[in-house]
Amino acid sequence: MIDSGILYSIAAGCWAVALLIAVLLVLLISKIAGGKKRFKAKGIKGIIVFLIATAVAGYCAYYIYHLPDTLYYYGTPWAMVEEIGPSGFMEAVMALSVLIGAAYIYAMVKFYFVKISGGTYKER
Amino acid sequence: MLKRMLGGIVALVLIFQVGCSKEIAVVTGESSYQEKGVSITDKGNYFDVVLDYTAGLTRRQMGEAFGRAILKAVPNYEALIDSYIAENLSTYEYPYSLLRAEDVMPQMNEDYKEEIEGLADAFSGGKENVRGDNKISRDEIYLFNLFTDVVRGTQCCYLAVSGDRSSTGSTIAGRNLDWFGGQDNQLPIIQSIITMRYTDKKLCSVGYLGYIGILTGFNDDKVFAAIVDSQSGTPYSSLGIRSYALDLRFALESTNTMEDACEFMRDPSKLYGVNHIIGFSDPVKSVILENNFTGDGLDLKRVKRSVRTSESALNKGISWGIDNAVGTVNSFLLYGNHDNHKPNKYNTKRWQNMKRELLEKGEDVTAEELKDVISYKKGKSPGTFSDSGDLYNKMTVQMVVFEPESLSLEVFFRPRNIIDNPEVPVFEKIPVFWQEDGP
Repeated sequence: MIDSGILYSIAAGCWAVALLIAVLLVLLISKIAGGKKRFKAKGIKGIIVFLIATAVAGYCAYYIYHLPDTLYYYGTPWAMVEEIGPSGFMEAVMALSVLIGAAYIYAMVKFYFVKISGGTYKER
Repeated sequence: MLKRMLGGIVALVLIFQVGCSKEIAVVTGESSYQEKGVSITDKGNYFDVVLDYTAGLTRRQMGEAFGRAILKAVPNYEALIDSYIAENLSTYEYPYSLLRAEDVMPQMNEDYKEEIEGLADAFSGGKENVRGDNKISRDEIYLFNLFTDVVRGTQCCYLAVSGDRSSTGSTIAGRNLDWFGGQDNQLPIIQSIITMRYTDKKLCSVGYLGYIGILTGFNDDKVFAAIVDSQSGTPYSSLGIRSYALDLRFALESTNTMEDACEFMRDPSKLYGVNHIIGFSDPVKSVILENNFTGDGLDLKRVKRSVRTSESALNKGISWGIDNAVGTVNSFLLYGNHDNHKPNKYNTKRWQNMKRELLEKGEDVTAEELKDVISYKKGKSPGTFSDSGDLYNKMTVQMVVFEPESLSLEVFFRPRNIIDNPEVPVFEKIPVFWQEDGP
């Protein structure tokens, strides 16, 4: 059984990084709102990046969803994990899910919204 | 802008509230139903069931009547049990578990088999086994009744004080049943007190509708027993095994003393699927039967199926030291027995907490104080089973306090409509063997 101390540490680390990403995301959105960045589809490259990023995020989400199978037995319901524990497990999973979600959103926004001023002509 | 943001936050909070709600909508049927041999009454948080074996029904008829009564009281019973089985068994495990149950059937008592067959007659699944079809088939009702033998174990703990340590001078026993209740609270919805009336014996089971074995129960000879699993990691085999919950029912039905019931369960010729412990109490004393039949003991010596008392020597590094009291969590402790205690925090923490809490109650323990001990939790709410060390934890679905001498029974049942256990468990005083009607 995984120690709850380790799980709480993982959760704390994930929340810290997620918070940092959230701050960067707010800064990014404020630039978009201020008209300093705008959306650029980036053609086939944009589609490939979107598909790869979504696949990676989906892959992570899938494995998080199936973590109880690894920890206990195949098909363990989340409700049972909540009762059996360890107590830090749900916190770690929640923090990891938020981190992955935040990282995915940040990566997408960062990639598809490009600088209007200071960028090259090609980028515009 | 600010108004929009606030509106968005409120909407999000409402969405989360709906998504995270742990209230369960309980489908209720008839509040009381009676037919020849069977009566069932909804008591609010549990069902009071009487199975009268003196009514002249065959065992199969009795099972069928019980099944019909269950469907009257809980119209969605089949969906509840079927979904519970599906939650506990993946598509992959489901057929294997049915085969395991099939392995146990030849060793089952014919009367019990007939009762289960009768239950199956009342349900709609027939002989077709389909996982998650909201119907109960014949094999699935066998599976449900053999759950502890072929699917999952119960966790639990047991504690009893007797003699000078009891405020009444006679035994006060307590036990917690820590079992996954289902993500829709399936087990709490069907929790029940089942009284079985025979010509010369009465039996009371604190259990579940449609479950005919004994998880916690007692007879009118004042012998109380409760099962506690104690898995030792040995490979599982269902070939030739018996059901210990059904055997415990037989032991309580057919013996008059705690010693005889205990001896029946430790019979070396009886093999079970899972190593386990049974707490036994009578008005005078209590013992813990450590039923380890597959694992090896210290120095690779042969297994132990022995009785532990308050004076028994325990494995190195484990102590009890409380006279006139016995307790157990999910581990073997007897000297020489397989040590599945020390490697598991969920055992060591609860054992320490049980000891400390009991000692804090002093030399003269009342039923209320015993309730306090088995209700122990470190935080404000019950913690997780594996690492909180709480005797009353998130998995606790039943807590029973029983005094054999007076047949006084008090039970905490997890509320049917709430998945999270309440901060303070509320015990209900339950009249048994028609106490309300006088002797």
